[in-house]
Amino acid sequence: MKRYHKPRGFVLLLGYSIILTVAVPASHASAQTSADIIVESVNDYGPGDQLPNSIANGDGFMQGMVFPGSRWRSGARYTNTAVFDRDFVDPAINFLGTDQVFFDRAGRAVAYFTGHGITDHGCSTVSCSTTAACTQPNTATGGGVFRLPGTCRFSPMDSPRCCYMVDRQAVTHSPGDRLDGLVNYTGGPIRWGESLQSGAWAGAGTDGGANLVVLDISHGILPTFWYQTLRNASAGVQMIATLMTAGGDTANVSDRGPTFATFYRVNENTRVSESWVQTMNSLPASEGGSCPGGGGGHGFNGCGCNIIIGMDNTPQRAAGALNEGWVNLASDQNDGFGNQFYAARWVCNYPLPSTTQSAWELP
Amino acid sequence: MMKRHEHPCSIAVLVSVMCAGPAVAQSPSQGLIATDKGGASGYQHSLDRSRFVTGTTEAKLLHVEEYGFAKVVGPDGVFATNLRNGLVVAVQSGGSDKGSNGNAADAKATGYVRDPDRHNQQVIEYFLAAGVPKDQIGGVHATTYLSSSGSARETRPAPPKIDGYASVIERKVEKYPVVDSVAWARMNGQRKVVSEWVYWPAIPAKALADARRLEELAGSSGDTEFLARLPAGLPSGKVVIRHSSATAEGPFEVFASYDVLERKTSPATAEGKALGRYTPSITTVVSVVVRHFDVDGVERRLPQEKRNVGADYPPKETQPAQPVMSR
Repeated sequence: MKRYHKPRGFVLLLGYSIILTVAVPASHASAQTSADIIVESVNDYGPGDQLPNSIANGDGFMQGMVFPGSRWRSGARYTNTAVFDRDFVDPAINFLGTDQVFFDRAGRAVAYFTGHGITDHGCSTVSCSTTAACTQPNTATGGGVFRLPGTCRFSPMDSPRCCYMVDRQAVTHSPGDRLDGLVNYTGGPIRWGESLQSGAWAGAGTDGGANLVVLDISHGILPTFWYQTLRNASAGVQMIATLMTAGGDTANVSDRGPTFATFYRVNENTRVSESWVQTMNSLPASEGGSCPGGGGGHGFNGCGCNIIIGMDNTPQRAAGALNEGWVNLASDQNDGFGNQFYAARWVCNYPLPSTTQSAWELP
Repeated sequence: MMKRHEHPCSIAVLVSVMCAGPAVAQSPSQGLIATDKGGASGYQHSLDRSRFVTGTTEAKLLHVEEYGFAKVVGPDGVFATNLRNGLVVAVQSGGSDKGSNGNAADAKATGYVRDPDRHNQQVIEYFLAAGVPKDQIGGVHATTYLSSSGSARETRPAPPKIDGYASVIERKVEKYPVVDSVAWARMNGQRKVVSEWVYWPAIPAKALADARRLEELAGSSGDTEFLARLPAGLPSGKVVIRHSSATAEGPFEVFASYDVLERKTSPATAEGKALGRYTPSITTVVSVVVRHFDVDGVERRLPQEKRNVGADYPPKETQPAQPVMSR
């Protein structure tokens, strides 16, 4: 086992610093970086509605990321009634919004919310054999406003039936709420990541800054609407990570955030996207209900997936978002210049045969 | 087997390593982890026992201590051992800025095992050969890696592409699942490990004895004194062994638990809660939580579930309640 003694390490570090200083172009030298982390966590949703592990989860993420020698700084930490729905809302879209001060403040590298999502599923009881048949959103049941597109959705837990687009929302619970405690990141006043580097193309100014948003909530995305769900919210943010259920529920676990952060501690040159999706593998397999046909657990009760999406103005830049390492996440030069293209990566807690043409909808 | 490589590590990796300052890396002893009499051995993974690929050729590997891990840093990946609890995590490097071209990780991911069952079998064989006790493997299942891309011009998403599998080993001691022990690996078509995570601590005899006792107490009739002491309305549970997770700080804790999966649905909004009843069109939330009860019927929280750093910051103006605005 090799030993590196401090004086030698210091000299080498100095040497490499000089090399880098000479080698890096001037434009890069003046590049903006973001290093702050904000975590907003809600355990308490009122009597009879508790998520006891959200704060432990959020705090574990912060502790895992911010420590002596880390490139990240602790920007803000709010819990329970200190988490307002308007923390997430863009003031350019809704004057009640204050995201420029909280969740999407300039300089945020990571903005992490852990709490409730909503169960609105947009599904009808109309069975189907092709997506082309799913054209009647008014047949959907449950909460939400249903609209096209439709999908003939199935999962290991559901037979094929017509489902429709419905907005996804995170939920807060505070006297400071002004939007009924609902953060509608699909069709609502949410724009994340708009910055001086991304530009104001999203119509929300340049007062944002989050480079990575994590929505650690139930039903963050429902298949196959990974693009439609997050397009409006992508206003320059480099990536959005969340959870996609495939017939199951998200389990409220204390270790998703800290496990994600562990990948940074292990290797800051590994990809952020791989870190998020492989977080799922690393959570206990037998905590949470099983998924029919094999699998389940890993932070889900039933079948589900950790998913991460990048958007930008070209296919190459969208795909490039998912190649970013933790080191690259800090650079605002990777902010999105548009949301016309997307790339998504996910890992599901059950096996899908490699010959599968579509795992969630009938064509 | 330790690999050596011809090419020097990238400057980014070296700078990252050197920033850590002095490096004195000493990993825990590899192989079986001893326990007390009547307990179950743990397993300590190591690079010598791993098929993780840190690089493609004979190049110098760096051994450093950084952020609480003893790391072996190669040009293509890092093999890291947590110096406090023995957790092993091995992941590829290959992160890049948006503008840069290509990366090694993608090339290595090509050629994956196309059958999840076969991948499962290969990973079981791998961990058995490494030294995981055979009688502690309670099962295996695959997780699936997928990707998709597209644009606003498309009315329907392109079918996702399957990018491979990881296989997760489930741990049991006697017949009791050891929930928080996790071992998984993702292999490429050449049976090399692309990434892995192994945390398999020793289980003391008391936890096992309590598990046996707990099983007697819980019985199979669903009508025992033990169950009567639990909060009303809970579904039936199962006897398992729980321990500190790989990310938990503080002393290691382990206990036998009667774990119950509780699922509750509630209205999402204050308005909905005020109704006091469900209507078909109301937006709801669901909470799914695993609760733990020890051999005395006392509800327990795992160390990782008790994290709380204290006060919020920076101070935030809290506003008095006002009428909710319509959306």
